[in-house]
Amino acid sequence: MTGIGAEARPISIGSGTAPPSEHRLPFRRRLRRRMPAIASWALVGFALVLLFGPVLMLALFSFNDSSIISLPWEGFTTRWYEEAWNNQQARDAIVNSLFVAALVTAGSLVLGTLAAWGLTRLRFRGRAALAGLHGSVLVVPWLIIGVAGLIFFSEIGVALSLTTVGLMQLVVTFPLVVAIVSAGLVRFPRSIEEAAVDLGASQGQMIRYVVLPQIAPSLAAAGIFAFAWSFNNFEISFFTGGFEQTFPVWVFSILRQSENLPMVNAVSTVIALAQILAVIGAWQLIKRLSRRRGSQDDAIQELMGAVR
Amino acid sequence: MKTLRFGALALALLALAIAGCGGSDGGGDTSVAEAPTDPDAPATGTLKVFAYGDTLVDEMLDPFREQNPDLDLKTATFNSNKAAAAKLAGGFQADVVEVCADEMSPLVARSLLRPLDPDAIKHFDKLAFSDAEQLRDAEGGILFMPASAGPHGLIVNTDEVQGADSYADLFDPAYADRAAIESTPLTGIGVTALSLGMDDPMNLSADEVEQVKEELISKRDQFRDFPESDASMANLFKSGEVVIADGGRGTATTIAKNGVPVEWIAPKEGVLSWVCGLAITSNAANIDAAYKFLNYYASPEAQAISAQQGFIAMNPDALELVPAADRENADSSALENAIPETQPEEEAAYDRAWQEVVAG
Repeated sequence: MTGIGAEARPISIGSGTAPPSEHRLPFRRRLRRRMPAIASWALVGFALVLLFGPVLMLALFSFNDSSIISLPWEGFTTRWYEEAWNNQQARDAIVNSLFVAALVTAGSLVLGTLAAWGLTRLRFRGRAALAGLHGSVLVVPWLIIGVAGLIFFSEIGVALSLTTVGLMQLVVTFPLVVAIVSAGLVRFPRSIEEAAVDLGASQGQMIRYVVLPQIAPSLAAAGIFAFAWSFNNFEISFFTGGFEQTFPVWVFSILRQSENLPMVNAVSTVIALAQILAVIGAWQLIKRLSRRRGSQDDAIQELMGAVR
Repeated sequence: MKTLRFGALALALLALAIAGCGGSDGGGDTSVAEAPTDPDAPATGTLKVFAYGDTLVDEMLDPFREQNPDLDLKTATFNSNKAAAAKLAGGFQADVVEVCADEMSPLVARSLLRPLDPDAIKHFDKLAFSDAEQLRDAEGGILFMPASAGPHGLIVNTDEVQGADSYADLFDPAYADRAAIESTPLTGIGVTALSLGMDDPMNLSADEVEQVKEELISKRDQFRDFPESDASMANLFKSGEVVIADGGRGTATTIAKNGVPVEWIAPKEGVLSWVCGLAITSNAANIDAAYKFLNYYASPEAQAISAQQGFIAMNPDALELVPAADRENADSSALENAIPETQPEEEAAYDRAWQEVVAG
């Protein structure tokens, strides 16, 4: 028994009379004492149901032997998954999205880290304006970015393809990396960098052995967001894509017929599950990296760094 | 924060400026697309087709690929003609685009389509809706070749509803709170207009739309819901909440497959029908291959495959090639005298009226 009621009795010092233990208190007092914990759990449960309830319902109905997504339950089936697996367009779209998201994530991390380093460590005229310009991309609607990208590529005579999708996604994703990594760099004391240089480290060694290990959790967090943004993006992918479609574009294009819903449901369940597993994996990685560098920040603080 | 706002404004203005430079219209050739000199020659080069995802399924495309081994067929998909028009106007190059009569105005307004030469399409005259005015521009040019359609009538639960044969049955007090109308302004206003005796539901005047709106609002309690998708409509029938509704034959088939005793009925006022087809774009680069593709889609063989995907066989010659189980749904006779769903001149009035109806 490890619950609240099973906590060790407090040791009294000096008075000789111990305060009443939890189980001796009247029920009302015990309830009142536990109320904040109960309310917290209820709030967390409510939020989880709101956030994940619809996804769980879709996952559940992806195994329902009916093309209509509603009760009553018509029996267990895996035929929607088989249909999705046998659909070449779905497979191609997923592979395309994975390919683009992987490249966008890698490119965003490199460009975003360089930009964050420049914005937080260098002093130059127009630094604030440049930082604002980076941040402003995050508030411009993706639809506008997508249409602008389409016209831009059209004007310069570049054929639309997965490359153009990746380039325009990079434009909107790397500022996010800049924000997250900048937050990590701002929290990291510059005195440690200076100490490393004083002890004889070159600039490259200081970055390699001092800075990068410190901001590794921020990089991991930025990587998660960059991958998710890219994989789930519809607007930019639609307008700047050519004849190789990404997963969101494929989904939108076949939803005209309701008979396609169960198959889309099945594919989406697999994608959602993979994304949840990826986030959990990255979360564990962030925690491990945080522990390894002896950070006082926990994983949540790393992720919230950009917001702060 | 001020800097952020400034940056956002600068970017938005830059995007709009770029959009203004190149996104006004198609800027292509809008004369009639010339027929190929040798219609029987296999297509070569690259053909770029831009359509809905469920039109470009491999079952349909594979035979065409086999017939034209030297042709590089590329496909891209969209989710509405509005989105397709925006992309084409932005400079996306495609040879063939799918067009639906009820949403084609952005493509026409931006001069993104080339009129077709019907003589270049062998089965054109046999296709359902091939003589419909709605396919033609102001000069009589044929803007697209009809390739798929779906009749829209009444869906009734046969255990609960007997003898229904009119849109007016949707308003029968016997079915109060057990009727539904699809939440689409065009069909919602259209079927109500037909029930009131108006005979041109796609071209109502603003006053007529107002009259229809008042009728719907005054009988708001008649309707259990205004479902926004086929799936929602199917759910309502399956749960028993709704026993009569307007809807497509495909929706009725889906509901029936799930064990609900429903029947699709062609009302006496007339059947509405969505009509989609294939057009050649004003910036098409491979006209010969585009006509080859259109000819393939109009052929009995292709239409028989389309019928097995749940669509009507637009070419009646295809019916004998359709498996018996799919033949009833594929029969294009359901489209006889059907009223094609098109974008009305008073479209904004339709939309506003429908929003008021749904809001109650």
